[in-house]
Amino acid sequence: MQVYLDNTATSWPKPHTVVDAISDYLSNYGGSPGRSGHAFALKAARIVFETRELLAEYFNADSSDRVIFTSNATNASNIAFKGILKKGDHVITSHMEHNSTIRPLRHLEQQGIIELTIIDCDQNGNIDLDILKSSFKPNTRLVSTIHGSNIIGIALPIEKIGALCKSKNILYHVDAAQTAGFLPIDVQKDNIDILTFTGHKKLLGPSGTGGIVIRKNIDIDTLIHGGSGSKSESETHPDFYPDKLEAGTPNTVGITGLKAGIEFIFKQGQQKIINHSQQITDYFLDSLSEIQELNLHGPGKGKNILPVISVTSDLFPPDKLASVLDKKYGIMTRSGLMCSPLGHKALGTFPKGTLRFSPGFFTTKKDIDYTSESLKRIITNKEYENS
Amino acid sequence: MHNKVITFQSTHHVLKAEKILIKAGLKFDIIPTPKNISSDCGMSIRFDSQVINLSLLSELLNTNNISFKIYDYKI
Repeated sequence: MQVYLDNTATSWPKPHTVVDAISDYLSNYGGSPGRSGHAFALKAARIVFETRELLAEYFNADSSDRVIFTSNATNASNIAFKGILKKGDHVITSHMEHNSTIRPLRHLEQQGIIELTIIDCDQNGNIDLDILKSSFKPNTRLVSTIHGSNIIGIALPIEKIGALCKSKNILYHVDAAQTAGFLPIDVQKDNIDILTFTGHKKLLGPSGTGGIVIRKNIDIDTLIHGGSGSKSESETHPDFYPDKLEAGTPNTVGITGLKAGIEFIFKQGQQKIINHSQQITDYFLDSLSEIQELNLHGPGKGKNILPVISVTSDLFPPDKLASVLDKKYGIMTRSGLMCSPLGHKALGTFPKGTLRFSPGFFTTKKDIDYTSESLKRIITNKEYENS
Repeated sequence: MHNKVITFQSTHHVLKAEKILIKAGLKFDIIPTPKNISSDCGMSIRFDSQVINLSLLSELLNTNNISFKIYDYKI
């Protein structure tokens, strides 16, 4: 038996419509969008356009030309930070951030471009808004926070942080890598100036997709200049969106699959997806709580917002358990720091990290039962000692 | 000249305009941008100004913040 419990890294399986859409594009009409006017190019351009429209609807963007495609969320965040921050800007971020935020910001700090403040979180990963308030300086230009954690099942109060930033006239960036496609996000209502997302996690698309949603009054300088299919007579890159931030042929294969993923989510309904996640996560937490050798991290039963469960044990390091689960039982998890060293420091699980289980929309109770039984067997028989 | 061509900044905006104009019940074609028109992108919208009211069309596109230019269509 094989059980995939690493949906926080990338979701699997994908809906069959995602696979079919990719196959259809490659088999039947693989033209380059926006580069010609012929039938295949036009059909490909329509797919890219419709995907932008769907994402604009999902995030309530000001307009769909403010939805920019990138190759992943890391790429999106780099474009956003490096295209908007200027020398002397002060940036505030949190301990819950992924390296996709921390590393580009640390780089800009080391280059002497920005001043960086990383505010503490409590043991449950929550940010104290008073600490955020007291961190504001006259030159604070941007606050950047993750929406949903990739270590434990919490989500930060983006609407409260957004309102606070708006009241201080400070830009707010949200990293929605774990939540786009799972939790409702409204960039207008939540006062998010820049939102970055990935397509291959909760949006159920293939890897190599992601993007940025930019509010209408925000301008981001482009890092990459080149072909856009528009203004071809000009030797300089266009300054209108989306072309401004999308030099080069887009990942049409991936975007075609992403469109099918978003349509799947719209068809199922967000609430059904959330309900399934809560049921499976609580069912799993109930089973895990019976295993005394495991310490559970995170909010716990009924309080997990995202389907992410982290455990540790005093008996064995997380990687040993992950290895036995994979090699002997076919159960795929993630162990270690998950690109979030600061988050693990906040939670008290640095440097070993945790063992993370992340179910997805297609995870069944049977999968969870098998995983719990396997865990009990491994611990009872001390199978981790021989791995 | 009743035949007109509208050009846009990018393919995205051609398709956005198409969606808006179809929703408004207007009849038009999408064509490769004629060579004699200095264009921003490879596709344009062609329409008959006797069938479609020019000011209504302009208003629809302006309301949606779409930049465009209108030319006479010459074969």
